[in-house]
Amino acid sequence: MDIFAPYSVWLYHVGNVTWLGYFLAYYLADRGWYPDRSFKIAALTLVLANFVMQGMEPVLMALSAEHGELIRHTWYPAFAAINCWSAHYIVSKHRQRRIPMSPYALSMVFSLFVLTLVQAVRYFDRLVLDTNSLDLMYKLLINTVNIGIMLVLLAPVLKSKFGQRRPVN
Amino acid sequence: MWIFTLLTLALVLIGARGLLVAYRYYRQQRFDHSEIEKAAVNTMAGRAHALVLERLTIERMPPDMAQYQALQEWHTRIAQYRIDYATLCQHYMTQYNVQSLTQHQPD
Repeated sequence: MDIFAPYSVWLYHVGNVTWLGYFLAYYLADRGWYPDRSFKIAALTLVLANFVMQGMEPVLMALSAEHGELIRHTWYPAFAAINCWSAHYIVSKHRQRRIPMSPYALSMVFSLFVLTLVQAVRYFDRLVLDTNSLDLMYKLLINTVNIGIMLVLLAPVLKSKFGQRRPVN
Repeated sequence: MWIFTLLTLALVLIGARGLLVAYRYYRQQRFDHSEIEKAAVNTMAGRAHALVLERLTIERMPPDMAQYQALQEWHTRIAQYRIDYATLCQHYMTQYNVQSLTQHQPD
């Protein structure tokens, strides 16, 4: 599967800065480019979840030297838990504040569920069944979903600012 | 380490439930948008009655005739602008997260 190697490397580099895209989407929406509370909740949750995950990665790496086996088993469930919690946070905030859920927030919840599923499947593949056959899927899918989310978040903000506006009546 | 296996499975189930709740909530909101359309049409009907009263006062037409003409005119307009007006209301509702049209009339 060498043909995917350059794509995987590119994904890795872009994947490290997708949080900038999320943050930009939230910041511009908050500046009035797209004043939708549902959108802002989803974007801010993603920014925070991304920061937590990027901060957690080196900590888990450092801990794995001492508690190798434990960290091996904690790694995938930890990321799955953060993704799962983020999805629940988006839904509960909407319900709590009685905000109509935008299609963007719904697609964010869906993406976070997909990421949870990917982590869980990878956990079973790597540690429970010990087959390690989904390495490529794991490398490609997570960053592809992250970049997809970034584009989905940036699209309505840029469209509402620069897109064609339909005259009312 | 079976505890982590169970935890992972539980996370998938919790995530799936979250997605289901989100979808139901989304659908419920979509359904509520049809209520907005009804509210918009009701607002237009309210205006028709206001116009009838206005005509009766200003033009001094015989009551039945004026009422009939005004209502006919406004029914045509409602049919014509119904969709656009509903879209406009929906736009305002989502833009400013207005919960009810009775509290905030868009115009």
